[in-house]
Amino acid sequence: MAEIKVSNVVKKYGGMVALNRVSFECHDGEFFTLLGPSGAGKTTILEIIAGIKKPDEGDVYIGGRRINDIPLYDRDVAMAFEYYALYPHLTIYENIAFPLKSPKKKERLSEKDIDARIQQITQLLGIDQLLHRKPQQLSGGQKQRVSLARAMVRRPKVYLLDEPIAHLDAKLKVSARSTLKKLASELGITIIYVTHDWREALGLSDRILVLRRGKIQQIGTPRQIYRSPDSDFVARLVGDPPINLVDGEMIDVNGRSYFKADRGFEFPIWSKLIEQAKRAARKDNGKSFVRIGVRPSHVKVSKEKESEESFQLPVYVTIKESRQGVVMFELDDSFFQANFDKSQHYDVKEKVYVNIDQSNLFFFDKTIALSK
Amino acid sequence: MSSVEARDLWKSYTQGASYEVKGINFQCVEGEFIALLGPSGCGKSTTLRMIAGLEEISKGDLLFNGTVVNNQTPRQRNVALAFESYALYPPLTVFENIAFPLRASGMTREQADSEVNRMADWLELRDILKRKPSGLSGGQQQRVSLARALVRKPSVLLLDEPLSHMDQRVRFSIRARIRRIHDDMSATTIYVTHDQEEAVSLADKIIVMNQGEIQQIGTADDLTNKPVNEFVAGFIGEPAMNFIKGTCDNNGNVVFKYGGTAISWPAPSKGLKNYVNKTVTVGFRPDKVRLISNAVPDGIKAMVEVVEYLGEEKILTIKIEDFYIKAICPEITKINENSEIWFNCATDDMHVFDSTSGKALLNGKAG
Repeated sequence: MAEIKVSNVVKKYGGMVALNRVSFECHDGEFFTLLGPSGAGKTTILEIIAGIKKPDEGDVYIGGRRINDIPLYDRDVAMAFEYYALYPHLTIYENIAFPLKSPKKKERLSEKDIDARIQQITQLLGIDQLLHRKPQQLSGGQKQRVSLARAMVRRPKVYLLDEPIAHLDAKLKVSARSTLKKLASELGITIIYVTHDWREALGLSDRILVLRRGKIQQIGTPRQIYRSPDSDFVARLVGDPPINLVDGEMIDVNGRSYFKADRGFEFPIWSKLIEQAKRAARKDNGKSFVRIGVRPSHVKVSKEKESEESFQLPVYVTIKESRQGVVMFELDDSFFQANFDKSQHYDVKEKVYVNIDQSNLFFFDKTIALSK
Repeated sequence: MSSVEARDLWKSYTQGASYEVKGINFQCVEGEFIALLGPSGCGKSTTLRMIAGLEEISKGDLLFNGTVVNNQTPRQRNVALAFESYALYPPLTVFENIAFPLRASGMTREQADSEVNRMADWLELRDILKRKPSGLSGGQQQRVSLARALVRKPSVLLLDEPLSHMDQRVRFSIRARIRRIHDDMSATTIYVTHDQEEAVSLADKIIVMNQGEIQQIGTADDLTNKPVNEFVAGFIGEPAMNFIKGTCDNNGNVVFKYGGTAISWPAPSKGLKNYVNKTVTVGFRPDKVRLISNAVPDGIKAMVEVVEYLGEEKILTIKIEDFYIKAICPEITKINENSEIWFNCATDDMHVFDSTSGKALLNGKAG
């Protein structure tokens, strides 16, 4: 069994706390992703599990066994990095076979077994036709798949993958993602995966851990992370176009609660959401400040007023993407975006009605700075 | 503002042994926003550099407002260029970098200052105006480079991958600003990118290039709905268009033989008479795949191998015998990995290509 337990891990570099009491469990056979911006501490977690770095506090377990003091070569983990370090003088076949040529006699595989494993993994990754070539004869995407194959040809308990497909171009990434997911489920292996790309995190993972400056923000399934983000930070990290975040105030007018944006618009809040809004709000000087979040797909734009919740904004610009349109509105400290049907047309500076689908409206405390 | 026209433009770095750009022709009318789109090495940046006057033209003519400008300097052409690699003056502050072309052209300090401040507002540079380029992130340097190009109000604005180093969130707002600046100033803009989504979302007209040649010129809708060949069809859209091979029968159908049975889809029109009993390639976009949970006469049987949840939608990787297609469905669609499925696509959404030349024969409802 290969479940991994990280318990209260602290890592400091000089005075800086890189990891601040990080605890999580990754189950046997799970695809578990560490998601966060650069500098969040994702790779440090991976390096601590691999044994490349030692934690200052806390414990790491693989299969129930505490491994803090076990050297990296006895931990039975394989690690693949973004940068493929292939041996230029060896063929692709020899490169992939390399980790199997163990110096320890009892672990040594027969040539036949090695061949069988290489065939399996390279077929899965679609590089079985390239085995006789040298690395310099391959494209970047092919090299990355070879590097992945080399990491996965061993049968360790745990695979640690650090941005393995990060620098593929957009098209190759789409196919690399599904290949990786298929590989993981067919081999039934346990993977801890590091990425800053929300599409990889959502598309590939069983569960996601969101990390910010060395602290855990949220752990959940892809759906939980996207649909029920705990904070503005998590909400902003996933989705494209990004979620709209607007700061404002909760006000009462004639017994009804409104959200009033710091500049630009106001709308009445559904009564069933008022409790939730109040919980998230921060009281100051008798006022209650709150940040709302709503994804562009849950904002509707129209020429006519649709309901009493509609409010008006002038169009900054419209952008027609390949499958959807985006109307952009300029607010003080951010852009507010809404999807629209590309068959519609809105002029620059035209005042249009905006309607928020409040069943998909979030209320957050402010934990990140907004900027345009 | 200028119009730009390329007439049979060629470029060789090897005295004609090989060509980077092979006789391209296009017109960019005054105030138009054009994207030069293609994979790396397709000749798009070389073309831009010829327009800018940074690269000698090997053969053919380049015209601004109907006048040949082959031998004019960049200054004479009054073009402004913002690069992917920013080329900022390291000893000058951001403010001075942006003001430089204005002061050099003799503008007064007051006027230059107000122009720079206006640009700084547009491109969100207010907070970094006093800093030197070396202390800036790649994305910030790119915005400064963009501001310096825009502030001159050039006749033609040339942009080479200006968004490539910006993080996702900043890209969204800068993209909006570039488009808005174009709409307000109506500057003739030629924009080089390898990113089809950027081209589709920004440009009025897109020139798709591959291997030094123009493949197609058209609006985003033209390229999406009426690609002239398999290259354009596969390059525009993400995930890419699916392609499967079939044979034409003499009733205007394309017949697929998968899973031991023959399935026929009616072709969008009767234009395949010359292809009876020949192989053709059928293309359909991932968001046009219709998934059916039980066998239907025109459904191709397949296996869902991978389901990727992406928030608003799911991307499916579907295996048919020994190859794969991609399908996009709404997030709420209930579908499991390793489940059997049948699929087809509406005749209107079907594209048919010559399997040898890649030339488009039929394009769904666009004909």
